Amino acid sequence: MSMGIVPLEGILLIMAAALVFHHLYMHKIYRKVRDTSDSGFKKEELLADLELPQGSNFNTFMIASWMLFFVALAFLFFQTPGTSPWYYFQAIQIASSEFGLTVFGIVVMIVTALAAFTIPKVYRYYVVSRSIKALMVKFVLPLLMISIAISIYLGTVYPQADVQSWDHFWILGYFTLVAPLILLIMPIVCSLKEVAK
Amino acid sequence: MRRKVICLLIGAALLLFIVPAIAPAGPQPSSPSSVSSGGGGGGGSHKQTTIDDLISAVKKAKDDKDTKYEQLRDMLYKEPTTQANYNQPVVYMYFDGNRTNITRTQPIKIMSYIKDTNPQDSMRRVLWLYLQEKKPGEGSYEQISSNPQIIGQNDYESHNDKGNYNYTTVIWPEVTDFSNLKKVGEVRFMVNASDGRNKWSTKQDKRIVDGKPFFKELVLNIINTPPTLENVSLITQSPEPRFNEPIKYSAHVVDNESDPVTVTLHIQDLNHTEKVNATESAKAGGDIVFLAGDYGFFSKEDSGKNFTYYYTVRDGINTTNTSYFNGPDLKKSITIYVNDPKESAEQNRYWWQDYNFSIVMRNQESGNAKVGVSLETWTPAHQWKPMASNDWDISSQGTTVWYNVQPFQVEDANQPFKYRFIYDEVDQHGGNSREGIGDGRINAKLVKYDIFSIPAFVNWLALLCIAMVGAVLVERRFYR
Repeated sequence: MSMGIVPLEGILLIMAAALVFHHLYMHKIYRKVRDTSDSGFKKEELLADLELPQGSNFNTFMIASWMLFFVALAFLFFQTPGTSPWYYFQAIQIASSEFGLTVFGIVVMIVTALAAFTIPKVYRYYVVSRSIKALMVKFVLPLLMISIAISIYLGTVYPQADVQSWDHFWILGYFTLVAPLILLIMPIVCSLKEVAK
Repeated sequence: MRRKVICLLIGAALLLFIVPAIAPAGPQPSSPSSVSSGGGGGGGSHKQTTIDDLISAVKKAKDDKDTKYEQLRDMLYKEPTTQANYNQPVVYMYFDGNRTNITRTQPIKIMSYIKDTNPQDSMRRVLWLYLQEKKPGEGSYEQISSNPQIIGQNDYESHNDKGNYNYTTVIWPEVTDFSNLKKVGEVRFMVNASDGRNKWSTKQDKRIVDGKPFFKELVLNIINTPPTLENVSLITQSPEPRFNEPIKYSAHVVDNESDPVTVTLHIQDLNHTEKVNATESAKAGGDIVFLAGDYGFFSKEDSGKNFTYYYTVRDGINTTNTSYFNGPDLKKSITIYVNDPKESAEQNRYWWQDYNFSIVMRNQESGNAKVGVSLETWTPAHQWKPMASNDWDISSQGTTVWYNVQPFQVEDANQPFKYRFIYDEVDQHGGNSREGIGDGRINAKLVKYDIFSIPAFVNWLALLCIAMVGAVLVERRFYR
């Protein structure tokens, strides 16, 4: 049970930290602007003034990345034996069908659609450097697709793979999931670091 | 009762006049119930006599043995009916319907008609009537009414059309139909009557002249509808069944009286020599079914022979024989020698793979014989699932019967399995199936494809494409 829960807890912790960082960043910006200005203004006005266009391609990549991030997370979590009462291979007819993983992925995309479509909007409040953008666009999607491929592999060999190699692939799958997550929250962390200076 | 009251009233009226005559002279003590009233003109008082006074006066006269009392008694006595004036009533059996060809279940109403010519109610006597029945084949009448029908003096209606007389009718509830009659024929009814003084029966009453609907003795001719069978059929799996295949004799039972029916099936050879018979009970309106396997009608010795059959149907009264029907024409059976069955599969023995099942069979008689052989597989999730069936020419040298099938489903993964061949001829052990156990379990792998396969790549690519298309649409719709 703990084998599948620990990485999930780590990922949720990273996401929670990113959320805290985002609010911290917004608060610091608000305080700095308020301190340098005599006239009072509302926080909503600050948010509107802070918005920066990030470009269509970047936005599209980020939406797709967050959609696939949730899919990759669900694939790994629900294919790890003993992690959940809704273990993927309990739906044996779907799991054994040729396009069962596609069906499962679509279901995950629908369930997490609101989060996947909303989170990328946060980037508009940050100054994302070209180098970070390039890093994100170049690595996030490929890493997530590697994680999904590993999940597909774990599914195809279930349940009789060699335990040691199965564990290796499972760890690799989570690594290729955590790495893009860190890249996805990098604009927030970097901006907070700049503001803190 | 009414007569007593009338007598009492007459006596009371007479006493009103005679009491002064028998009463002792001189003043009488006034009774508590007597009432005195003053005279209207203030002259002497007038004494009013009550019934109590009358009764006590008569009692006293009786005690005193007064001749006046005896005179009074003689005057008041009146015989209830006099033999001279009393006319014995006539009791008829009454039946207005058709008295022949009455079926046993036909509703029927048996009545008696009583005619009394005594002019006054007081002259009639109470009648006790008892219904008697004589069933077909019986020598004497039997009383079937447990309680008599009692006709009182006032139970009559008057009839004035052709002579004045009084009449009444009674319905006998004991007989409503003849469904319980075990033997059909003539059923006779008469009534024994009694007026307290005379006893007579309608059959012996010479005053009665038979003429519908009035009879001395009611004679009804009861018939029974013989039971029959409809939709007689012989159901077999093939036109020429084997002796051990399901052979079903079926028919629909018809009996108008809804009697319990026994049906006997007689199986005969073509010369109408009876081979075997079987009897079952049935209800009218229902179906009767004889399964050859249940009764063991046929054995291997009967294979290759033709048979006929007919039914006998009894309802306890009549017996009906049906006509002859042909069948079954049994196929000639053989004995086969069967080896142990074998199973083989590809190396990994996945659930989605083909498995080969085979068995060697040999005809123990010369020549080839067509034998139907079917294959069934068993797993915990799918128990004895039919997989394949075919007719095979089994030679005397031996024939390998085989089926290459994909017998399992995903639920069977990682499960043991069994299989069996079922054949429609008898093997050397007298059986008609042979079972085998699968070599190990079915492989536990659930997903059919590998990571380096088209389905895996399509799954992977499909997810990427869906995400990209979704992202483009959302970005255009919500991010601009």
